[in-house]
Amino acid sequence: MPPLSKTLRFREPSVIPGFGLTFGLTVTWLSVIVLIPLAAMILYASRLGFDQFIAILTAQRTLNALKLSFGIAFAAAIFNVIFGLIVAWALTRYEFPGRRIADAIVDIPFALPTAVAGIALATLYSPQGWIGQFLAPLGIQVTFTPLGILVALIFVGIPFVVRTVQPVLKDLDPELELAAASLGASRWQVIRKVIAPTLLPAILTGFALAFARAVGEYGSVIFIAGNLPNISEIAPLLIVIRLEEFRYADATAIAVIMLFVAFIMLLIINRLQRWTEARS
Amino acid sequence: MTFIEATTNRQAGFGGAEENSGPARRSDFAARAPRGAKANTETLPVRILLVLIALGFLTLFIVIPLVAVFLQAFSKGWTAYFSALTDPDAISAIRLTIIVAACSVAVNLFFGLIAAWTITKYRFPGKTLLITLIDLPFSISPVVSGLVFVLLFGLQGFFGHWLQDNDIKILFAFPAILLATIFVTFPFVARELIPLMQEQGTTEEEAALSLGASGLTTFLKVTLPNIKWGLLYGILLCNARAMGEFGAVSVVSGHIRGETNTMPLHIEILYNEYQLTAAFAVASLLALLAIVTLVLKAALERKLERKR
Amino acid sequence: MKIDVRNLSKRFGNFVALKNVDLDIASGELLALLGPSGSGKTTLLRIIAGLDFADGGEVYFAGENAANLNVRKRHVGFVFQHYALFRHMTVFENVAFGLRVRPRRERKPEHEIVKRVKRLLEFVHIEGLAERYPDQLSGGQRQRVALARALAIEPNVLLLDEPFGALDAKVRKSLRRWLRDLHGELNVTSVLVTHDQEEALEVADRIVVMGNGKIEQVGTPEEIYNEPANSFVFDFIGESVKLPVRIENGGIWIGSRRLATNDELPGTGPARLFVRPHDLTFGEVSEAPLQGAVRAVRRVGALSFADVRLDYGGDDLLVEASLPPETLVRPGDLVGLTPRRYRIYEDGAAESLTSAAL
Ligand SMILES: Nc1ncnc2c1ncn2[C@@H]1O[C@H](COP(=O)(O)OP(=O)(O)OP(=O)(O)O)[C@@H](O)[C@H]1O
Ligand SMILES: [Mg+2]
Repeated sequence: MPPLSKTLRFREPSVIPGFGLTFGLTVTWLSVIVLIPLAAMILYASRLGFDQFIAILTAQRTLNALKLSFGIAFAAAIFNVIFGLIVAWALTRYEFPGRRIADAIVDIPFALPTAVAGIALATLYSPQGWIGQFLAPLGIQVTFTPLGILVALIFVGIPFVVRTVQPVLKDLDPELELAAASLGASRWQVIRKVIAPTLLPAILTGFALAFARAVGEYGSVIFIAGNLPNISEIAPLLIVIRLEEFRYADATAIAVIMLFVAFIMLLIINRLQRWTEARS
Repeated sequence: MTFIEATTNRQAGFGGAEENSGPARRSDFAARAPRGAKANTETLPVRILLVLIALGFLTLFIVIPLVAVFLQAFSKGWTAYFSALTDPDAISAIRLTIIVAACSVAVNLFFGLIAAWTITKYRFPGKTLLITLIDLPFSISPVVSGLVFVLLFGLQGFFGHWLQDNDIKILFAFPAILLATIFVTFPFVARELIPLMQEQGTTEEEAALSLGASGLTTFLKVTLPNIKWGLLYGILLCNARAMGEFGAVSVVSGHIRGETNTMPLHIEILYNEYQLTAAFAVASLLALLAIVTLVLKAALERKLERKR
Repeated sequence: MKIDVRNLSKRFGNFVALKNVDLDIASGELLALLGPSGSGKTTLLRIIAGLDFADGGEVYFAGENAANLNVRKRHVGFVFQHYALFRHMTVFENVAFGLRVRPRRERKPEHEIVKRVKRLLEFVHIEGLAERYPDQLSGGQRQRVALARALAIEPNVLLLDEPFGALDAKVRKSLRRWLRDLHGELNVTSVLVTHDQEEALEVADRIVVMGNGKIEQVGTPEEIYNEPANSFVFDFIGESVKLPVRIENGGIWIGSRRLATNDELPGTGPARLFVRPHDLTFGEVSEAPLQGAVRAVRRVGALSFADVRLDYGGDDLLVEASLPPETLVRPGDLVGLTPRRYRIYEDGAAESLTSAAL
């Protein structure tokens, strides 16, 4: 009789020992630290009942917060695509003094704690701040407005587009461009017809990553945003406020929506990344 | 031309010259070269413009905020700076941050290694799902990450009453801070290792096993040395994020001064009390950590590249 | 050590990689597993080594079922297709690995390990490279390290998966001969996987031809080359020319000319004739069963070949025939060709209907 493991096969057999142990530990730990907490949240939300759930989400303040979070995250991601492309292009295509340092600096928003970035941006853009003092006479108010949120979300999203586009740009075969050029294509045609299609999946991936990060961002935003309800109050902040008011149901309903979006974004990003790999 | 060189143009020039080695062809190449070269990069003004835009963007959004942190921190001189850092609340925040970061790095290192091993060394159904779950904390808002623990351990939460009856304190105390930090930093080590180990495949492990090595020996002597730099890289990023985590910790900590405040939370309190210099002094420590992390990361990257 | 493979099957998902493979490997022989890419050679070798698991069937080591012997206990020296040297260890440490990881009771003292590794490095002629890392070696040198590392554990059986696959033609040839000598010296049972028939024919005592997960033929190099068991083997080994023919009234017909009569031939119907290029003799146009125009004459080293376009009942067929040294033909010449030795296979069937030598 064949051993049970052969008839009831979950995984393909392997000579490398330790599958049971490592797989078991991984799944257990993942359940304890990620799955159970998330499931608890969804369970909590499901006890609200559909009507209450909808009522919370369609309250004016909630709607405004969600609109603000998604809208400005979208705008910031667009902004990051444009400037991220230019930065990635300059860093990979040209040799200029300070290139290496500029390249290292791109990662700062990854590594700098969000609270630090938050107070720095809030101080810089306040009407008395280094940058804000030049904007105030023009009638541009950054702090305590959606514009301030935009500034903060641009800051946190910078590395995503640059770091996804850069490797693809680096791997782009220069002979391809040379070949196109030798066939009489102008530089602009080469960029449009040869380079842009190759970069597209990476650009979309970068956009999605920057957007996903910006939607949930908290630390760097709250200092500069001023958090005026209905005007500059983002969804994550509203969750915190509801928690502080002990309105757990409200907080959970908003959180479930954000979790749902995060999960969708993750699936989209995985798809896009596979597409990027297939292209290059 | 010397200020901003187009790298592609240079590469193309070399490639072309090598291919066309015959004398007859060389003249042919020379005749074509100027047109090819021109079409293969942007004109000098365009190049200068693009570089200036890139540098301007990075300066405005990254360099100036970073410099501002240090200038603000020292704006009232060294004494103010040091008294802000030696304040008992600051010291306790620094201590708590270091302990939390050390614990979560250790935990995530262990489980990150195990998860990466399982995912890369075996074939089993549901692997993509497992990877997605590992990635999930990356894309969840930090506030939501904190909230889930409030729902579990808070008074209105699932275990709240039981915990209170048994006098166990998790929320607004060290355990919740640690749990939230582990949750948020969970993906770092595994994410760094998975592509690396995938690329390396399993043949070296198979070779070791066929030579008579045990599973543990194979892991210690063959797998681990091959991934040590990637592992270090993951630890570095994990640590930076653990020390700087704000949103999740802020939700579960309860902001008890001298007890459950980490450095980022301490910064928030100081800032909200208009103690700007002190806030920036503490912030400068975290900014320094970020810079050191990036310098080490760049060094590691160069090391990894040379290894290839 | 003698190794028997019994009724081995292996699937990857729905794909059948091995179908009921039976094979006896005699103690001390050098056996070549030959077959096109994807035919299951690596899969068979890995199952013998215990690196992969069959869905059905058994492997016997010296008559003992190896199902419960894991790869550590089988003592096989496995040389991987891409060497799989430990990147972070020097050549010396690579070779010493198998000796150093033994359980303490069985482990030799360090000075003996050093002595043995040195001897092995001398044996494979890389004693000067002991302190180098794998990425500082050429492909041929890496191959020698991989072999020394496999030999260090005094294996019961040596399994080599396309050991020369990634090397250039010249190095291959010299390593091939060297492996033959090495085997003569050590006499360890060895299985060599290759898709290079020349390599298999030159090195092996016996050859196993595999196709699509099945064993097509087992035999000495001479048997495989001269008496291919079926059309697959004929086609795979050496060059072959395939001609559509017809069987009628106990005769083999090429167009309207009869090639031969053979009373054993059954029935009537289309068939295929397989012949080696050097078994096509040039002759008079009027007498030969095949005729055509020479398109081109090529010289490859010492041999010459002629591409002949056969006039084949309306269809044109280009065949390549070897030219005997004294024959003089020019492009455009009309020539006759006679198959000297050939085999006839019924369409769709693998087994040969007849073979003939004129
Ligand atoms: N892990 C696997 N999963 C799915 N299919 C596999 C796997 N390993 C091998 N195969 C398939 O099994 C068949 C036999 O593979 P194998 O590696 O044994 O071929 P091979 O004869 O060694 O070929 P080559 O000469 O190219 O090395 C191939 O078609 C291959 O695609
Ligand atoms: Mg193979």
